[in-house]
Amino acid sequence: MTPPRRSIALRGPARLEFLPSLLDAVSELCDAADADPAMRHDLRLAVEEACVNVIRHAYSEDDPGEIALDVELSAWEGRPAIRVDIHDRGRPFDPLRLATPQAGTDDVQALPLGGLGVHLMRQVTDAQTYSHAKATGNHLTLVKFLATRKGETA
Amino acid sequence: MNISISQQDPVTLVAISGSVDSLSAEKLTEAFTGELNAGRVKLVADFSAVSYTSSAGLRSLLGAVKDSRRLGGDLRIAAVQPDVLRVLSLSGFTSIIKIYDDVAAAAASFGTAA
Repeated sequence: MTPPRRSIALRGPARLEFLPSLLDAVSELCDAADADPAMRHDLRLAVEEACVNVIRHAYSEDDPGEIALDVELSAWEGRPAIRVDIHDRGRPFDPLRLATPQAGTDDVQALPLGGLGVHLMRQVTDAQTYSHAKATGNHLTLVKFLATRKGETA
Repeated sequence: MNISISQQDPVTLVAISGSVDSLSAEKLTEAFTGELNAGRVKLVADFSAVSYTSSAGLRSLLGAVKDSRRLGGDLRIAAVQPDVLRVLSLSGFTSIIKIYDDVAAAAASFGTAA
């Protein structure tokens, strides 16, 4: 039997059609980690939001570039975690600098329709880092500490 | 994601199943817009079979809430499952959108407070 994979790397067009493949990779690694349902949910949500951001905003519509995803069973600050790295070569953009949208106002009509994705991505992961280098482009890291179906919160 | 629409006067029931995500949310927005354009502005979204929503789904819901209220109606949600409720809560939507335990309660709410 093939042992469960500890890391998966995937590279493809920054288009919505590629999103299911990216999410499948995350799901496969969650299987390997025996991640509990809440962890699976949160990672799927965080990766969807992060990747859709790249797909919609990193490149111009007539010149879509690549998105690369690395997902691995890892350690973060000494604790077992699933780590997701997302790379693109589009325009420099730090999603972590986006302001949190202000929901909860009485005036529903004044609420913006956008900006929620990054907020959710941050809420459901334990750590996020962003960097940009001319040679390698945008690099977003998302970390979620491992919680397994056996009930061990690592 | 699947959508099924039925009339339960005075409300229109929009029953959704599956995942409301970046790939499917546009279909939901189109369904809401279709009902609102036809003058059916009292909408109940049955979320009992929705297992997942991302910000794309939230945008669709918020758009329909705004448009329906502008037209004198509302979009209310019934039977939200725990993962989805958490996303609604993290986004502050639980204070924007009226959420009910089941479809009957959501439909009945229009009888007195619409």
